[in-house]
Parts: sequence; C-alpha cells; structure tokens
Amino acid sequence: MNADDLVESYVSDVARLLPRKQRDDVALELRTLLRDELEAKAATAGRPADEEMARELLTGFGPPREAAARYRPHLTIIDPADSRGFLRVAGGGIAVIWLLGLLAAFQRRPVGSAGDVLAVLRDWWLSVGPQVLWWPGLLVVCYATAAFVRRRRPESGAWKPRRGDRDRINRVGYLAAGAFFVSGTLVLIDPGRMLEYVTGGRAAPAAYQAFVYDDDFFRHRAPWLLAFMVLHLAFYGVMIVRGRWNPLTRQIDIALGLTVCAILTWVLLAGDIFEARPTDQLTKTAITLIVITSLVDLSLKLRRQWRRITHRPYA
Amino acid sequence: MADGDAFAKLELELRRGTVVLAALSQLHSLRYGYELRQSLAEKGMPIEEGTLYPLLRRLESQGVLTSEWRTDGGPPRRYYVLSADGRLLYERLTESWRGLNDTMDRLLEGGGRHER
Repeated sequence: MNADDLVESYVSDVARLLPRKQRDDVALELRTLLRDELEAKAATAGRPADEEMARELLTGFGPPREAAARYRPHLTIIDPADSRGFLRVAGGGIAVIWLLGLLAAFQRRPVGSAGDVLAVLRDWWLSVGPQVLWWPGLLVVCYATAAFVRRRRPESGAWKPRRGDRDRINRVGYLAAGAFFVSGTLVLIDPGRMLEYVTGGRAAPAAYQAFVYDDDFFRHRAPWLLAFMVLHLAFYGVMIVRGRWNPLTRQIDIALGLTVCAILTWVLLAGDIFEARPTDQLTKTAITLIVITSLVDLSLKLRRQWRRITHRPYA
Repeated sequence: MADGDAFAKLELELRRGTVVLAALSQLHSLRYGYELRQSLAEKGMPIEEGTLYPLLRRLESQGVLTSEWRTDGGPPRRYYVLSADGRLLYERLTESWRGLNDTMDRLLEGGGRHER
C-alpha cells in the first residue's frame, strides 16, 4: 500500500463515521490537508513521501473513530459527575438481582447433591445471568435523561440544603408505619383468625387450611421471629415517644434490623412455614423480598452512620 | 515533586485553553487549514493537525468562522475567516485573555518564593 492509498483509506474510514451531509465535504478537505502535510514531511525528509511517512502522519492524527469524533460537538451520555454513582448503582443492582435469582433457583429445585447445586447454578445463569443487563441499560436511560434535563434547565441541578434537623422523628409517619407493621404482626400470630375476621367466617375450609402453620416452624422458629418483631416494634414505640434519634438509638435500630433479617433468613432456609405448598412458596418469596429490601435499607443506614462519624467536624 | 509525565499533562491542559484564541487570531484574513497551522507553528504555537482541522469545522458550525472552497491553481482547499460574530467573540476573548494574563503575572510574582 503506497502513501496515497493509506491516506485514501484513512479518509474513507473517518468519513464513514460522520453524518451523511458532512461526509463528502470533510473527506475532500481532510484528503487535501493530509496530502499537504505529507508533502511537507517529504520535503523536510528530502525524499518522496512513502508508506512509513504516511503511517507516521496518520498515527499522529489519531484513530479514525477519534478523528471523526473531533469533527462533531462533544456528546456526553452520562455526566462525568454521575459516573461513579452510576457504577455503584449498576453494580449493586446487578448483585441484588443475581442474589434474588439465586435464592429463587434454590427454591425451585431441592438440593441433595453436588450435581443438584450445579443444576441450580445452571438454572440461575439461564434465568438471570446475562438478562441482568436490563438493569444497567435502564440506568443509562435514566442517567442520560437526568443529564439532558440538567443541560436544558441548569437550575434543576442546583444544590439545595438538606432538611435542617435529620435526627427529628416524624411522629405521624412513624405512627402510620407502626400501625401497618402491627397489623402484619397480628396476621403472623394467627392468620386463620384474621381470615375469619376479614371474611366474617364465610371463607371456604380450604382457605383456612392454606393458612395452617407447619408444626416445626410454629414450635421452634415462630417464637423467636415473633419475639424480635415485637421487640423491634416496641423500640419504634419508644422512639415515637422520645421524638429524636441519637447515635445509640440509631445503632440499636441497625442491630435489631440485622437480627430480624438473620432470623428471617433462618426461617427461609430451615424448612416449611405453612403446610400448604402454594402458601409456603408465596410467603417465602415475600420474606425474601423483605430481607433484601431490609438489607439495602440497613446498608444505607450504616453508610449514613459511618459518614456521620468520619465527617464530624473537629471539636 | 511532579514528574515529567505530570508536567506534560498539565502543560497540555494549559495549551489546550489557548488553542481557540490562537487560531482565531490568525483568521482575520482567509486561510486554509495547513496554511494556518504553519503560521501558528512559525509564531511558536504548534498545534497538532488532528486538533486544529476539526476545530475549524466546529467553529464554523458555531457561526464563529465562515468558509469557502477555492482552487487557486492547485487542489480545491477550504479557506476560513472570522465571521462578524467571530470578530466580536475574538475581541471579547482577547480582552479576557489579557485580564487573565495580568492576574496570572501578579499571582506568579507573589508566589515566586515558596514557604516551607
């Protein structure tokens, strides 16, 4: 390939990466400019332009992809300021989706041997392995939209101070959440009676049968679960009365949350919860989601605590 | 102490900020890309061809430059010149540059002696 062929090939590679209406014009100009540069190089070297000289010139101009990009306005999909946050959320989301998929795969197929474990891993990979890429794809759309909006309306990205007192407890909000969790705990204590209360005793016998606890769960695991749930609720009751968080109560909250998550995980893995298979599966799925959500919430609380410690101003 | 690599990167950043104004300063009359690059190099401001030629296009698309094709007995070449808006922009940038230059001179004179 001689020097002219190299220049022609380079110009063609740059041009095809440009918008159609710009292509011919830029190609014509670039070809002339590169030939001018090549002639100057040849004159300086005191010999006719050759392949080596052309290669050196084109290497200096940069790969066609980069050269073509320089001819167009800069395009940023995700703002550089968002890049690390994007990586964190994308990586964390992928880990959570894979974990959920793994738990679901273990629930679908009982494990009795090493071969079963391999089969579960294969099921897991086929069901959520590469498919997990929908999550970063969705994030790219969200972050790109946010970047677009910020460019169009710069005031939307302006900094706003956080709520002044972050230790104050919103009593109304906590009471509403507390009422919801108390109802959930009552359902857990006696789901059959709650069904009777809701339906006025008109539910089919099969419905009552669906909510009969597994005997082993009822005797051994349910008391622990109930005890810690009541303890956690009582703790929130105390906090509503006190009206403020302090470092100690925040640590107690995290410790209680972690303990409840550990007991729920034990409940999930130790055996059946309900005698009826469909109710058991549905409840385990719900508990899995609760554990994952709680762990995400706890990790955020821990991170906030850590930042409070490390960012505390000097006395 | 900053090593040679750090110096090269930081110096490149310094120079990058001056490329547009340097190019505009030489475009009060029609010039084509290679001629402009030679002119800048002769005056002590060498700019890589891969940077300068696309920059001319971008400045033209922003309305700072206008261009026309000319042959003048040789191959067809695209000649660039400051537009009316480009001349105003050039004046404002020049004013900013001089103000910045004066500020930097004062800062560098004051920072000549580093305390340990």
